[in-house]
Amino acid sequence: MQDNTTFDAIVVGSGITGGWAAKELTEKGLKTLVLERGRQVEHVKDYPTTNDAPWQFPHRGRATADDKKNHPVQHRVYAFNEGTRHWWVNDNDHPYTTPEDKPFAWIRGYHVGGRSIMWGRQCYRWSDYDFEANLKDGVGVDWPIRYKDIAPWYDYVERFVGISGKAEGIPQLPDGQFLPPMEMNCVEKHVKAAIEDKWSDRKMTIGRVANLTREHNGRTPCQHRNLCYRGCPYGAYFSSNSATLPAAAATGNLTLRPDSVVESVIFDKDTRRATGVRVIDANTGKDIEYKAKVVFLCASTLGSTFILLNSANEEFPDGLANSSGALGKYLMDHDYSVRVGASMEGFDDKYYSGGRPNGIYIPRFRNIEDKHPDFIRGYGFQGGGSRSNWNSGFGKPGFGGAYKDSLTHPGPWSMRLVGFGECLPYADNAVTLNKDVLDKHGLPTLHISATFKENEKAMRDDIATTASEMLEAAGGKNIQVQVQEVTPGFCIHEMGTARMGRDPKTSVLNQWNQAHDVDNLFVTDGACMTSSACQNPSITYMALTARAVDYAVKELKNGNLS
Amino acid sequence: MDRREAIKRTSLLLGGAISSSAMAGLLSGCQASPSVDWSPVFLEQEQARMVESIADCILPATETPGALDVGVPAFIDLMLKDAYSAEEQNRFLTGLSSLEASSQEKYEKGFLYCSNEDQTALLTTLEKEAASAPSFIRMAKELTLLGYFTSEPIMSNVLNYNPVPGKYEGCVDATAETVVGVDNNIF
Repeated sequence: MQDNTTFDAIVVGSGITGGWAAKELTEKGLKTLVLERGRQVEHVKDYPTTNDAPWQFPHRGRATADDKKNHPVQHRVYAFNEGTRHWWVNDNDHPYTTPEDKPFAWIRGYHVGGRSIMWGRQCYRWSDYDFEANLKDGVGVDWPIRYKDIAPWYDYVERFVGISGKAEGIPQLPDGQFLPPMEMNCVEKHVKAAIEDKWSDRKMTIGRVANLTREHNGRTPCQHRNLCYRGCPYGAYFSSNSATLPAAAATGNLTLRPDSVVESVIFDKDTRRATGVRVIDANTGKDIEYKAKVVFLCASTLGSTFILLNSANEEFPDGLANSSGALGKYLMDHDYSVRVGASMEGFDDKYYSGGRPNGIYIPRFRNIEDKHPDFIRGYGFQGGGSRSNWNSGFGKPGFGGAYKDSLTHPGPWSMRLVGFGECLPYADNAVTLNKDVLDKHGLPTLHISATFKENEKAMRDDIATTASEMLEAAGGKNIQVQVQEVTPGFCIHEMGTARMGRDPKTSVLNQWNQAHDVDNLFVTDGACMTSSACQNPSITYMALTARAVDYAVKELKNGNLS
Repeated sequence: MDRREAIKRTSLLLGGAISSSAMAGLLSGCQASPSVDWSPVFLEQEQARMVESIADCILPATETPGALDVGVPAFIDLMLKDAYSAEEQNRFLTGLSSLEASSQEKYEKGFLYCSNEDQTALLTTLEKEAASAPSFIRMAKELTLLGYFTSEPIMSNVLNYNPVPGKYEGCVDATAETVVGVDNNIF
């Protein structure tokens, strides 16, 4: 009989990849312990603000001075407000450091479900333009996989997640298993036609988003409230809480333990295996050890890397599974410092109805066929068209009845495009353990040092130029280019620091997300990424996780991990 | 339609949501009353009365309710206490003092004792002078609009409030009469 500290598998983290690891492991029959450092969040029951109207918030949704004090970093995220504040960590309780001249925004949600509750839900496949890029450019190390390796796993996870989108046949943005696409509004349709008319290599498509456009696997379709960030009572967007964790629980093989801060992975130097993890109970401070045959780190990019760094031992003095010295290095995030907007005239007799939790997407078109003189890789655009509403009155001159009445009617249309630029892997964009600053559990903290460099900056000029010319081609007026350096981390696509690669001397993980140095240790969250592409990465993490579990369980059954 | 009639209609529109004392305040013209009929948590009485006048100038009652009908001044007071830094609070209070000084200079009486037209003229001058940088008048307008357009009566009865639309339609016809569609999102 199994005692309560020994399992077949341990998954650290319950966010978007932890949920997937839990679902796959339990469905394959493994008794699985999921450890989550934060509190329990039960689907629907623990979404306290999900139905609240603006007037029910004392500050009508605005962050307060206390919010800014408790969440000096987190409150600057676009999705932070009075209705979502409970999802973001108190920065003071969970410190990290950076060099003074290199700020980094580490955006975190410590609770069951993690950031799968507040994610942006955009899902874009990578292609071989991405998986081959490092090899072709001689940057970083080669990905140990190609599109054909991951394509069936994209299919697999997409069928479960439920992604609405439109198949377009674009080689650099492969189509997936799509639910019906959401609709573009009038201005977006117009801009799309204008762009595609003028440039044969540029396409605009509706965002591919993990919101259901019809009933799917027992989950209700999107009701177009556009309130995803508060948690959806319909389960209409994909999160661990709404989808993977319930599936895992239904197997009877899941044990979910919230309030469990993983301190380190336990390594047995005789068997060269991970034997389990050491946990600090967040409430009692008690140390507990859990044992398992296989360990999956899904604690988020920097969370998993922290655990490995903090698991240093005699054999691996610089961090567990770090014989390569690559652990902690090559941190990336997408650069979205450039946004361009334009007024769109001639559509005053058109409007839209309902809240669409989605925008448009223009896939990368640079360095596909041609070669840009100033930079390698490329960028995509997200954005959308909209009519202004009453809040346009903040900056509009006027007082009195006519001013008031003008604000009750929809104002002018505008179209906006935001570039998402690929970031290259640099060895000195890195995290290290900081033993001088300890957290409330007495654990070391992370020191994060990362900046965007020449290639990312060179891309910004081109992003501004191409966005402007596309809006101009669509008849946009008053084109406004905003270039404002966004602190790395704020795109919340942080990835790398335990990269996959072919060579154990230069990478931490192999083609199965398995540690080169420790056969029964897997890392399947964003830490594994070898390059960043320019697409939103979550669906790739999910596919890699399901694929890694499939491999790990086969290896277990073949006796290769015992 | 005169103001008295407008307010009566508003009251009907709101299903009698305006208390009789608030109604009396509105009908009296709301000028230079000795104190506000709510309890400020941040502002002094005199400042609170100025905020009432300013909010009334920005969004007066017309065929639809005004800022005073939906509790905007008390909301501004709460926001000043809870949502702003000391520097921003100071900017607002300094703004009120300067406004009072301008009123004395131009009309030789306090802001509260000016006519609505003169108050609006003072605010209009202030708005013209304010750069695009953060300013008192911008804060006052933002808070007034936020408090007004996110209040239940305005969202429910003036704007097109639909918290659970069910579907999204990308292209629907609009006319000059079409009002802004709103849901439970936060601005």
